[in-house]
Amino acid sequence: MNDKPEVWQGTLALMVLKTLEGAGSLHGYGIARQIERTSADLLSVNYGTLYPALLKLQQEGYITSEWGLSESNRKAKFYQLTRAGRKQMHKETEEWEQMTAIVARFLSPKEGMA
Amino acid sequence: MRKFRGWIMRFAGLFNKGRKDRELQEELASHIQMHMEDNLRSGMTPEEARRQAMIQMGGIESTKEAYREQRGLPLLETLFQDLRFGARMLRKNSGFTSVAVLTLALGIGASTAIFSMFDAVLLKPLPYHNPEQLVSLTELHQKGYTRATSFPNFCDWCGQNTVLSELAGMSSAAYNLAGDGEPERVLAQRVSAEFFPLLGVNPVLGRWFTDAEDRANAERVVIISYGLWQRRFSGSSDAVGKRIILDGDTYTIVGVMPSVFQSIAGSRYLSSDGTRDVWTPLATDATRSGRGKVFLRLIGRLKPGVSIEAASSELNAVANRLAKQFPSENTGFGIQVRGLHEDLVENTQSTVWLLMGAVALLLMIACANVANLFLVRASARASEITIRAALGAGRARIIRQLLTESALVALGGGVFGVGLGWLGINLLQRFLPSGQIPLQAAQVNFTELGFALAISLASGLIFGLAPALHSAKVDLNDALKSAGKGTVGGRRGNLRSSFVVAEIALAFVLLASAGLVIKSLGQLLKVNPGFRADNVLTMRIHLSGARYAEAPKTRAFYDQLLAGVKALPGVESVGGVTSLPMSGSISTSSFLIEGQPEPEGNANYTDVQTATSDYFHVMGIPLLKGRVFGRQDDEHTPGVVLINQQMAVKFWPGEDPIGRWIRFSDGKTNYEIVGIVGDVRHFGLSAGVRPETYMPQSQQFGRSMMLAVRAKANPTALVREIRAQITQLDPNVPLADVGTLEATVAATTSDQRATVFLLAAFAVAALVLSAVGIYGVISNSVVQRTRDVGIRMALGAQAGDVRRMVMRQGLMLALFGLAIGVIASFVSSRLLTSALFEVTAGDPVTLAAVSFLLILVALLACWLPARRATKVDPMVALRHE
Repeated sequence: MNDKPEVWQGTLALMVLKTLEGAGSLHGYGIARQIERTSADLLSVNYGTLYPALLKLQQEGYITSEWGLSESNRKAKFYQLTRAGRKQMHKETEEWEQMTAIVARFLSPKEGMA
Repeated sequence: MRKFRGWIMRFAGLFNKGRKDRELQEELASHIQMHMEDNLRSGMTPEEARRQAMIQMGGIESTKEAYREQRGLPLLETLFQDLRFGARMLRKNSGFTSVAVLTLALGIGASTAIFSMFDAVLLKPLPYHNPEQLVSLTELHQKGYTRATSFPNFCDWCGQNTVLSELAGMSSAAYNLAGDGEPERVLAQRVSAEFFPLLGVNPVLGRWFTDAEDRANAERVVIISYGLWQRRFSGSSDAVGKRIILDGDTYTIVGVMPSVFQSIAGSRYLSSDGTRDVWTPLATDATRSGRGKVFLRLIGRLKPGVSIEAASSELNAVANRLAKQFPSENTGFGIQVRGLHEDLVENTQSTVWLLMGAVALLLMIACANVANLFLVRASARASEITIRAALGAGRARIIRQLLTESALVALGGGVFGVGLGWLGINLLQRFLPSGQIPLQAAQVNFTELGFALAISLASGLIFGLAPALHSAKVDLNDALKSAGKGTVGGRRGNLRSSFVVAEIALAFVLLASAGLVIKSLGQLLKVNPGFRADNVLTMRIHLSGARYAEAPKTRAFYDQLLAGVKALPGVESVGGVTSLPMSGSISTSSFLIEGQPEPEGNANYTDVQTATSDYFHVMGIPLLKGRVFGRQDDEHTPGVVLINQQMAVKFWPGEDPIGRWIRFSDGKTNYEIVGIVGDVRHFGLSAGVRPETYMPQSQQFGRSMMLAVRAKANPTALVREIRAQITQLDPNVPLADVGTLEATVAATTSDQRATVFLLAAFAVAALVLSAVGIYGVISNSVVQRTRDVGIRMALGAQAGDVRRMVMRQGLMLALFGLAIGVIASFVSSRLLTSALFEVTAGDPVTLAAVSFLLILVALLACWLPARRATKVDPMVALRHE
């Protein structure tokens, strides 16, 4: 099938949190599509790994869920960010930015190490 | 924190799985539906839309599986699975299970019972404030003997040290308690004012003593025990301020101690005489304040941060100064400072360690037996395990399953074991004599339960691991080929044999220990105490109050009493002495010998007693030379004494002491030695004999006396009539410590008998368990060798040959175990030494007897399987294939 890179385990949680921050309340399918859309379809989400990740976030209290109706009037489970989730997202975002900045220093040739 | 919440939620995820599964199903279904709708909108055919949606989901079932794993705790769930399966397997093999559980229960029960004793003696801190700061201080002579402390020394130590925050002196006493109700003899302690604050135990009512009350001629005050408060005052809250009469003097009650308060006994161990009923201030007056009067036992509290070593070195510096200052009393004496707990348990701890060691061995034997049972079962289950392995169960998974089963058995054993231990403690407390071994203190509480749980799990691991590791080592190819026949594992057989060898070795160590203490008790009981204990009734009488303040009055009382008792029908003879043998403390004095200079540091010591002239005859103490006291020895004639043989030999070696005189250090009178009597073991059968001097009651003033009444038949039948005689003479005189001399003597060996009983019980249990172990191994090997035996018999072997073959196998195991046991018992005998009396730890007679017994039992255990082997029908055996 396609050779788009799959989302790494660790970053999936952050993407979910970020997505929910923008969308407010969204069902699992919506989250998956949103992640793909945000990545301009460069990433493909294995939907199978999405649901355990959602469950884990829920167990840790970062998101909550409730049953509702989708735009096509279909019964679906909707997820929302909690306050702890928002805080966690900010924390992880910061860490992630720091990390990428560090990695970028190694990779970009013009700034060098000296 | 979040992680923790995650675990909790996952734990909750273990429940209500059906509903959660349905929810996931719905969620995934709606996901696929939405995906399909999108796909349709983008122009796919319905089939293609559905196919693409399913592809991107990546397999519904594996998603569900991943989800489930995240939802619950997979490890815990397998554990539950294992537990359920294990329980089912154990239920199915109820015979195996009950034997294993009972065997373990025996080991765990015994361990728990003994551990509760261990805990009470060695682990529990003393029930005082900051007990780790408490120390005992004992005067120790360079030559190694100790003595009590004089009041001036106590005061000097108090004033001249900087290492103790408090120092208290105490001395044992006893009073006649009179007032409302029966007169009563109560045990007491005279204590300095610092005593209660030092221990830090508050009274339930009233207060401690004040410094002013601890002075000579201060107003008389008393603190009473909870027991006395309940008994005499029915626990009324206005007891404080009331008066009681002790030895004829009136004392005001100032405090009541709580029921849990246990005083520190005057002797060096915690035993039943830790219970005291009254405490009075030392209030040392002129009669006891001399530096030569040693009567105090001291306890101190270290200042925070001061070590025992530091305290010891400073206090010894003080003692050295005092020795220079007062050479005649203090030369040679230093101070031994020891932790109070260590000091109090000194005599008991070796016994407790010994018993702990014994139960540890018993537990190990039980574990070896159960491990063997598991191995037998493992051969029966070999095909089951092979199939599991073939179906893809990993080695670790199989081991986990088998260990879960052994843990279940172990826990079962633990539950029954705690019950058994509790029962055991209760039985022991009821039937064993109470001595220094604090059986009474033993009880099952949370520490004990925790201990039982810990050893159950540990033993489960010990006996489960070897069989589990062994069983899980399956070679699929071989195993499947011989499936259904059970593996005739040479290696499994070896493992089982080594368990049996270990069992026999351990059993030998236990049996040898039991044998040695039994022999040692036998030696102890053979010791001649120096008197005849049969048919002698004993009691203690103390005359108190102004009525008996002078010698003629007390003498008249005792003369009349003895004459009256002697006239009773059923009484053969009666005598009196200050302290009967094995009945507790005795006063000791230093003395001068005629024609010798005064020795430095009071080196000549003798125990001093006052006795009536008939005493020696009543007790059967032989007169070796000279004469006993007679009518001619009264207050108008020169003072005379009798000495024991030990004293004659020690101080007049090669000379005749009769006609010589001695003088006690604090007196001016010379006493002529008129006779030598036999030695008496005053301090118990195993204790040495000390020099002893007897003074005639007719020349001395003594308010206290112990009576020894030799009866023609049953001595206890006389008690009522003697009590009547006393009441007739003076109704206020209480009778205390009524008993028989036989019981007193028996009480001195109660600890040894308790040790013997416990060790023997453990040894018998060990013997039975190892017999079962040998039996199991041999009979199993007979079953496995049925075909082999059949061939031999078909080839002409006789029943006797077969029997010999089987018996030889058992005997080899027994001999091998025995050899290891002998070596091990040399190592373990060090624990025993302190429990032995006139028996060496390597006593060859005992070891030989024990070896013989073990081999006999081993042969018996092999006999049944050997007989069964001879009954093998060659035809059946060969067809067995």
